[in-house]
Amino acid sequence: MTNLSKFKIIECMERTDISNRLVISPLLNKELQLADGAVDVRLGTQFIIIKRTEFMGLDPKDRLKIKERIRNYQEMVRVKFQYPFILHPNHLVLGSTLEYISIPNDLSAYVLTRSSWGRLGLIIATATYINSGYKGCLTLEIENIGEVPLALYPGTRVAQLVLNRLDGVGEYQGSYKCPTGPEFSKAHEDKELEFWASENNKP
Amino acid sequence: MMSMDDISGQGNYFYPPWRYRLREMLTELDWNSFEMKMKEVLSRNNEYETVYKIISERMTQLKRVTDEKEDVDRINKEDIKHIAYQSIQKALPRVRIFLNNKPSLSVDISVENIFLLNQRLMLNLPPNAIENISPFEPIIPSMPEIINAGWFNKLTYLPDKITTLNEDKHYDKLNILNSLIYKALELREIHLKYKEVFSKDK
Repeated sequence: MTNLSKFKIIECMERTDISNRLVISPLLNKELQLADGAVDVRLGTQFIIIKRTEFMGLDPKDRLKIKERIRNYQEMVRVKFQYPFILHPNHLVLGSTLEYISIPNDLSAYVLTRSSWGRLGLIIATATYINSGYKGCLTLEIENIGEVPLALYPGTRVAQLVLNRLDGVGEYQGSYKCPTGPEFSKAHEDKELEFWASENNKP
Repeated sequence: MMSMDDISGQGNYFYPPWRYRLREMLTELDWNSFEMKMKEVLSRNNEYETVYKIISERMTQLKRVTDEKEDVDRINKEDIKHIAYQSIQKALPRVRIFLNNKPSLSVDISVENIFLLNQRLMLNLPPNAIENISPFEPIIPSMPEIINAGWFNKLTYLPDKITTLNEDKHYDKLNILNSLIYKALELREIHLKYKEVFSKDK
């Protein structure tokens, strides 16, 4: 895999065949957002907050409980542009990119925190790899590991997308289909979980 | 069981009958001039032929539905409702003027833009921009163009009746379509605002 230069990123975004195009939409400011090897992406307006008081803990094994009660566990909040979302130290929330992204089958990507935000204690993503063929806004696992609360404004460039060319062609097989905001984990839908978490399989 | 001709009452939250509302919407749409615009686009680019045929068939169906006047007959049989609906008809021109003065709604609709946005929806991309010429200088569509693209897509690729049952495979597709439209409307607004502010700065 090789990282794409600015020139190559532009080339992928300008492909004539829209089904095979790298889409990062809207790219509000080409000069500010495009750099060699990476594209800056912005914070979206929706956040998922876990309602700590509503549950005892998370065990993906209890898939039915999670599926049924997911609305009690989480709260989706929408923050208007020009208004802050205050993230307190040690608080994890799910956010998403403002941009809707489509990765063609010959590329893959990583999403990383922009260093200027990282220096303030903000972590933007822990599961950073984006498969080829993925379509949607990227869910960001946002945590403040700093000492002071941070005001996050929707639209701010908080993350960057590093694009790679695949050695071959891939296809997205994941379970997150075209999200337009953050999505709660689907770890409880893992087909292997029945085996690894089953009482019956205990030695 | 509700029918298309149920007149306003508590059961339907005092909404006018479906057939009545459809008729008013069709009048507002001015299908004949819309169809002419569609045909004009098709004369330059026939790849939208299938979509056009489906939309056109649907309009013929709707016209057939609204040609029947069962709803009006029922209204006319009830004195008070008859008077109420007469006053609605008198008020409608003023409603039209009010809406046409709203800048976000009184825009020219480009049928070609709707076709292009529908192509994005076919690929599960939000119809927030037309990036065919350049993704860096996109055309930002109007709100009616985005919403119409959603209708084109729904009519073309989804059946009329979609249940919320899990086994209905179309339900997911409809949810995706709805969220793509919402997303496009949000992105369109912020894109225009951003452009306005940053073009002043230049």
